[in-house]
Amino acid sequence: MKKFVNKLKQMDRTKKIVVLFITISFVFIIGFGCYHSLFDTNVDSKQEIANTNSIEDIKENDLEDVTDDSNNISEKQQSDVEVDDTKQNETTSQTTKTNENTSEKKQTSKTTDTTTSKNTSQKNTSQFQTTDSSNSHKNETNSSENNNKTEANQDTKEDNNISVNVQVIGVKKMMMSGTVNVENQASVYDALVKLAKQNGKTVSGSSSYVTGIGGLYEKDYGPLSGWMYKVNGVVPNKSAGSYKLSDGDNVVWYYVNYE
Amino acid sequence: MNDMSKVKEISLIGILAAVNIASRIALQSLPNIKPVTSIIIISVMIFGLAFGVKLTVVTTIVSNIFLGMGTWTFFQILSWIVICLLTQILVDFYKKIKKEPHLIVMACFSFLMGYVFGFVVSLEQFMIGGPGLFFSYYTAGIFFDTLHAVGNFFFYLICAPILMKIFIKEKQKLV
Repeated sequence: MKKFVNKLKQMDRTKKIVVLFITISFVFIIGFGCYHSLFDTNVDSKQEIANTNSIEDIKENDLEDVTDDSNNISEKQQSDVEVDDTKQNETTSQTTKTNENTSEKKQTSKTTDTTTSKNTSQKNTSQFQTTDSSNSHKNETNSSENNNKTEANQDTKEDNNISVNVQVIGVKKMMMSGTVNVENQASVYDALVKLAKQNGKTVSGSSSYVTGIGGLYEKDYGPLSGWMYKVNGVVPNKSAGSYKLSDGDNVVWYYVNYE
Repeated sequence: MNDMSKVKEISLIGILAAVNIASRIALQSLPNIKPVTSIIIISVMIFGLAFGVKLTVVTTIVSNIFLGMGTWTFFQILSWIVICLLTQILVDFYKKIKKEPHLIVMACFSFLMGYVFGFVVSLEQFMIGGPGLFFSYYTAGIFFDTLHAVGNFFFYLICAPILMKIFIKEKQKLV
C-alpha cells in the first residue's frame, strides 16, 4: 500500500490529472450502468408480481390481434363512429358537441369507407334502438325508442335470470371481477353497469361506446387507447349495448393502446 | 519551456490535429481504418502525455463537428486518453530498463489499442442500458474493432519511421 502511495506521489502532474480523470469517468460510467441495470430488474419483478394469468392471456391475445389483423378493432370503432353519426342525424340539434368532436377525430384517424358505413349504419341503428338505455340525449328526443325498450324489458322479465362472469382489466391490473346475475337477453353493457354498481365504480359513455370505467378513460394513454370487450375470448363486431348475453358467458373488458 | 516553445507546441498540435481530422474525414468510407490512433501513440512517445491529451481533445471535437456530434464524443476522448496513458506507461517501462521500443512491438501495441478503443467506446451502451446491452453492442462491434486494430498495425508501420525522425527534430527545437 505504501509503495502504491509512493508511486502515486512520484508521478508527474499531467499523469496524475489524467489518471484522476479516467478513474472518475470510469466510476461514473460503472455507477450509472449498475444503477440502470438494478432499476430495470426492479421494474421487471414488480410487473411479474402484478401480472395474473388472465392478464397474460389477454396480452397474448392482444398481440395476436395486432399482428394478425387490426380489422376487428377498426370495425368496432367504425361501428361506434357510425352509431354516433346516426345519432347526430336523428337528433339534428347540437346537443352532442363532444360526440361530434370524438367522431371527427376518429374519422380522421381511421379512414373509414363511406359506402360501407352507410350500409351498416342502418343495421346499427336498429340494434341501437332496442337496447339503448343510458344515453339521456337520445331518450329525451326519441320517445319511440323508449317504448321499444320497455317492451323488450317486459319480455325479458318473464324469462329466468342468467349469470355471467365479468372481468374488467385496466392497465396492468385487474380493476374488478365477479359473477353477476342479469336478465336473459341482457346486453354486455348492462352486465358491466351492474358489476360497476356492486363495486361502487362509475361507467361513463353510452351503451354503444364506453368511454371510461372506474376513472380510466379512453385516450388517457394515447390517441388510440380505449376500452374493448370480449365474450368467451372473441371480440364481437357489435357495440356493447347490442350484444345479447347467454348463460355462462365470460365477458372481459380490457383497456387497449394501439400505437 | 519559454514562450517561443509554447507557441511552437500549439502550432504542432494544430498541424497534427489537422492531419488527424483530414484523415478521419477522407477515410470515412473505410470502416474504422484510420491513422489517428497511430499518430496519437507516436506523439505521446515523443512529446509526452500532456501533448497527446491536448491533441486527442482537439482532434475529436473538431472532427466530430463534421462527422456528427453526440454523446460518443466524450467516450472517444476518454478512450483515446486511456490509450495515451497506456502508451505513457509503456514508454516509462522502456525508460526504466533503458531500451528503445522496437518497431514491431509498438505496432503490436497499437494493434491491441484498437480493441481498447472499441471497448471504452462501447461503455456508452453500458451506461444507457446496463450489461446486457453493452455485451450485445460490444460483440456486434468486435469485427470493426478488428478492422481498427489491423489498420492501426499497418499505419504504425508506415507512419512511425517517417514521423519519428520529424518529431525528434521538432522536439530538439522545442526544448
